[in-house]
Parts: sequence; structure tokens; C-alpha cells
Amino acid sequence: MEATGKRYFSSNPPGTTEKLQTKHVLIAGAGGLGSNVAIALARAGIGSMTVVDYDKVEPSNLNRQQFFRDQIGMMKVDALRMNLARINPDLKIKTVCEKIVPGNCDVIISASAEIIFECFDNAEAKAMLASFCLLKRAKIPLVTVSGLAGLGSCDSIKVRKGLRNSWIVGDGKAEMNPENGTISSRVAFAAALQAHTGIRILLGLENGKVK
Amino acid sequence: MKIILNGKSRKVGVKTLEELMTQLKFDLERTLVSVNGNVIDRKKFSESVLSDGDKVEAFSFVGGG
Repeated sequence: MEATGKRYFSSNPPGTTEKLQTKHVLIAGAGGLGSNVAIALARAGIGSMTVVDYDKVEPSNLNRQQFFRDQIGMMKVDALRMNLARINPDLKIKTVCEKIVPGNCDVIISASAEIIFECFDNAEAKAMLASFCLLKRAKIPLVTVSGLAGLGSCDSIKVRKGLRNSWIVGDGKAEMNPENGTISSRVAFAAALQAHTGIRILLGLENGKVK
Repeated sequence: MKIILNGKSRKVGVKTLEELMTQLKFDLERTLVSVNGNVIDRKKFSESVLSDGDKVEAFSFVGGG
């Protein structure tokens, strides 16, 4: 990054920016979690990220996802790229507009990522990706989320160590369904906790192996 | 035989991991499972034979994101 870019991160905790600028992260899913995680990491000064999503921005996304009304109909990865570029033009962004399925994990989930954020909404997809990462990308830290729907207290959303090199954020219970719904504040809280856990892992502040 | 599921000992009358998960009403497609610390691929639940004293960790995801 050019020297002039540094002033944008001058409020980061000392010693943080230099480390984060060298890191490459992978964000699987660009919805309520992924769009918020990406923005938090862009603001923190992460060097490069790959964002994977196959969906378009819909009106019902805008209560919690970091897109704008004039982006409705755009692919989420394209809209997010625009928004991230406004926050940090120096961030290197690679977008992959594909649905992650068991057959393409090996190609899409790059072994060169230094951390993987599981930001899917579907429970089966979460389990599938976590299983793939723990089996085939065992050295790369994985931060997953389970349980962020409804109006429960943010206090019930915790970070805990999962199997091997993984972490789980969430209340573990509140599933997204029509009765629970999802609200901006609680989704953003979970995403912030996910991004923050990732930042701590990248800085070597969390227990567990770091690549 | 006895297995230890999520830290708690329990008697079970099953042979495979798939039978255990089904009997305990886990949603197989949403659950991440390890046996003695080894993550088991979902496709291998039915061929994963359990032994007395095995430590099984099962974590089921809920949707939302």
C-alpha cells in the first residue's frame, strides 16, 4: 500500500495495520454476515480478500445487508466490490460468482487463504463447508456462525472454539425462519464478532493454530 | 457399548456413526461430527463403525446469515 494510504488506518491499534495489510482472507457468502464482515475487514485495513456468492441483491436483503437500493438486481459480489472500493480503494478484491457446492470446494476454497469466514445462511451449506475446511484445509483457521436470528439479546451470541482450527460465533439456537426473522442489529453484531475473531486470529491473539 | 457424546457418557445400541446420529435425531446434513478428534466426512457416516469408549463430538448448525 502506498505511504499516503496509511493515514486512513492511523487510529488502528499500534502494530495492527502492517500485519493486516499482508493478509488474504476468504469470505464464503456475501449476505448479512459476509457483507458486514467484508466491510469490517476493509475498514481494518486487510490487504486482500476473495468474496464468493452467487446471489443478486434483493429488496428483502436491505434490512441487514450492506447494499443500497440502487444496487437491487446486481450480483452481490459486484455490488460489494463497489462498496468496498469506496471504503478502501487499496484493498485487493477477488470475486467469485458461483455457488459453493461439494464438487467445487477444492477449486474455490483456495489453499492460499490465511483465514476462511463461513458466511452462508443455509445450515446444510454451513455444515458442508465446515466439514470440507476441517478435512481439506485443516491448517487454515475457519470462523463459522450458527444462531443469529430473532430478537434475542446480543449477550447470548458468543464466540467459542470449535473442532480443531475452527471457531463458532452465535447463540447456537436462533434459526432464520419466518417466525424469528433477522434484524440488522443482531446480524451486524454476529458479523462484527466474526470479523473481530478473525482479526484476532490473524494477529496471533487467539489460541489455536495459525497458518 | 458406551460412547462419550459431547462430553457425556451414554450407553448406545448402534454400530455406525450414521445409526447413532439418526437414533439421537441429529439432522445429518447440518451436523459436523468428529470421532476421537477426527472429523468424519458426511459421506462416511454409514461406514464409520463405532467402538466402546469412542469420543464423539457433534455440532449442528442452524440457518441464518
